[in-house]
Amino acid sequence: MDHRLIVRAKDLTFGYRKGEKALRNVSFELNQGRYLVILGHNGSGKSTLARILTGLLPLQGGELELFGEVPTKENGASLTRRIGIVFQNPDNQFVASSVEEDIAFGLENLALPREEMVRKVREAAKMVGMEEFLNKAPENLSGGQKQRVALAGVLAMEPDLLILDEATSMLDPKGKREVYKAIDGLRQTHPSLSLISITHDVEEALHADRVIVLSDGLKAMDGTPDEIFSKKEELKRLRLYPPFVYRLSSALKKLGIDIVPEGDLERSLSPLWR
Amino acid sequence: MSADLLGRYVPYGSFVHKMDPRAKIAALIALMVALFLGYANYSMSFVMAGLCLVLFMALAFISHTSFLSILSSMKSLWFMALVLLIVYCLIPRSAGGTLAFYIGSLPIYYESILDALRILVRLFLMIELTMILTATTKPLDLTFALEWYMKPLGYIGFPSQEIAMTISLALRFIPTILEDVERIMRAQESRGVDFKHGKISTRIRAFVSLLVPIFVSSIMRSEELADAMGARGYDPRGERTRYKVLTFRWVDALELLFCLAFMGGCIAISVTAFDLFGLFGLTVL
Amino acid sequence: MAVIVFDQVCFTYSPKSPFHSDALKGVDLSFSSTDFLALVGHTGSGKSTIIEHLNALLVPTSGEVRIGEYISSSNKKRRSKKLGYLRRKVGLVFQFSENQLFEDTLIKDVMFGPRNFGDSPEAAHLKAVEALGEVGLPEEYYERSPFELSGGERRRAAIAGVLAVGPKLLVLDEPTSGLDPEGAREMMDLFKKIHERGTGIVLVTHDMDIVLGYAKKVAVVDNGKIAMTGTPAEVFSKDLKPYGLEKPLVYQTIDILNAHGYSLSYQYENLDDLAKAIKEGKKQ
Repeated sequence: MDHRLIVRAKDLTFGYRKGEKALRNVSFELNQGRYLVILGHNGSGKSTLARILTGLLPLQGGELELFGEVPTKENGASLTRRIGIVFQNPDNQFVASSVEEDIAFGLENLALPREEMVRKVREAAKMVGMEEFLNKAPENLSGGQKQRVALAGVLAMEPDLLILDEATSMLDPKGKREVYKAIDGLRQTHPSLSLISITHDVEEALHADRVIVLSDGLKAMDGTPDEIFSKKEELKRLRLYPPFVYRLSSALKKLGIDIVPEGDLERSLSPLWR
Repeated sequence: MSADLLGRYVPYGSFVHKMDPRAKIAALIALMVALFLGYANYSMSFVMAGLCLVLFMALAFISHTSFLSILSSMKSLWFMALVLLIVYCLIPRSAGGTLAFYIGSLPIYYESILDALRILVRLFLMIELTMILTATTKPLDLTFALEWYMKPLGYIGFPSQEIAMTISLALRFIPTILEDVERIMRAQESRGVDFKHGKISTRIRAFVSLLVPIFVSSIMRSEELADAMGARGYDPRGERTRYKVLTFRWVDALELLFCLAFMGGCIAISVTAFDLFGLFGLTVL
Repeated sequence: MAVIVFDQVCFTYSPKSPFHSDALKGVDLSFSSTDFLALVGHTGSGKSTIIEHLNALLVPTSGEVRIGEYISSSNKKRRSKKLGYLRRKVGLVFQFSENQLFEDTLIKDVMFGPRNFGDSPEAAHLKAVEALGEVGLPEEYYERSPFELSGGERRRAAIAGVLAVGPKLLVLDEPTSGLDPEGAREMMDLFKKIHERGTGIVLVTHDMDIVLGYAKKVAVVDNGKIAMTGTPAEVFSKDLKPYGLEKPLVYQTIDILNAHGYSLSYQYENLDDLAKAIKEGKKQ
């Protein structure tokens, strides 16, 4: 697989008001096809970071490269067009009054011909399993369905980088599962798509290639899920807990039993019966 | 509460529902013209209004527009009726008329009462027609049709696309904000607010306890919405294409033609000052 | 101690209209005003409709709800008159309750409830100060605008606004949604403290780990009815798939292990106990 650099961020700094910093000297890199989870408590600066990457907030300090280019006034729009973002509130990103029109919204903005839109809307709806709901109005959809529509609307624009900004935090467990399933499927069919998920759900972070923990605008931890979640004390200091399998694993370790914690609970537990 | 909203779109599959919204607006205008034409005399005016009533009632019946909700729209007309009656009676009649009776020293003419009645009947029929339109057409389709009609204005710099987008977003968020209203009302009722009873001052406070949260949450929603639209490349001034296209079918043309024919017939009756009663020498009013 | 009884409660939204929907189809449920009851069920199962019957925001279409001496019945003759009394005794905290704040200062907003129920400004102020202390909002916040607070603080402020009225039963709809894990834990610890002080809690949540950690009694709501009730351990040892519910991770672990030849029971206080039982089970 091509491991082109998708994002290179160096010392990103941002403040909404003078003398107050929502983000301080955050640096990271993201390669193509990788899944990065940015963890942090509420108010840690996670969403600020997402807004800077998508160009919704200006760059105040530090350096940013997207797809190997520095965003400028001229190319900014064409670079951020390659980034899709799904926000937290399912209602506040549903623009149109039906599923298909909402998925088409971004395509309309690209001024695509209608035949192409129809094809892409259908493809995108299928990717998230919403192809049977094309005519439905948002009032008649569950939160999970609305978020899948939001995801489809972004996917229809064929982004190279997908950002999920707390995309599942307002959903019930069923809705969360639906969205995760859609994203898992996406990673299978589109291995070159890079993914940044911003969340405070440690269970989700288990599935990532890499985890960054933000705290008070600073990068506090950076590593693989295993590297991060083995450091129980440090996590606690950052108002986070290890995921369930890591807590079980450390309880078992005290009794001399080893399991290998990972995203799938059953696979993690399998050493217990082999 | 939201279920009883007057003129709310009710999803049925009648031919009125299926009609192209552009054709429907044109048909509406045609029928309104027919309704507001002047006729030979009062009798003819009421006969023609009766004809319109029969036609509109048939449309209401076919499209499942609830007769009850149409009648309840009459409630707000009572006050209007009174005002109209008073105004018409106070306007001095230059053409003179048949004296009915005196109130004090004010002469009241039959024509004044009939004029008021006629305008009232027309208003009622107009409301009925509009309600049929809104009950059978998705708000967004209406916006779409309006945008289509406004298109020519775009060439002289009129922001028809932006206006249509604003209207359609407003329509899209009505159910969401109504839900907010309902939730906040219940939350404040749980804190002891009584929205229905009490002195004016407490009622105002109750209203403020609803209004402020709704205002704040709507602002928040609109900010997030703007972000979501921006992130998907929306540029109000940019060139856009449309996913949704309205298809004008031959049935739409036929239905519109029928309404135009009806209007044409009414215009003919109006300009020829045709008097059905006069034919039989029966002119009463 | 008061008893709350749902007796064959049915409720229909927008009856006889195209938007007609039966939300409750014969709910039978009883609990005490000192319980810590969790209502669980998938979205649309009727949980929220049930809790809005607890302070008569909704009145049954058929059947009746008895909250202590207060009767909320479809039968108008049986209906109690003292609605204000009920609303004082049963405090409802809605989902995203932070959105209900509206006054220009925090203290005024918390005083709003007591004032509505007829307390003097002085009495309301005392109650507000007490409630704010309970939810952990410091005195220097009192004169600030509620809109300057963080999301979590605003939610605490809204909860204080309900507590200040002095409810005997506190009803909470998804009080932890949107909070980070530590924020959720702090919030639940607050409710635990309030419960220990003698206030009954009815909690609606999707988070089964919270149910397991805090509730004393669970009612599973499905399709407008109560599908089962019991202690968390009893409920979570049953198959919950038919109700669209996921078990807490501890119980999922036990289910997986039992499917692979273990025979673990469903009662462990903590993960260390579970680990010990796994070690025992592994030997056999």
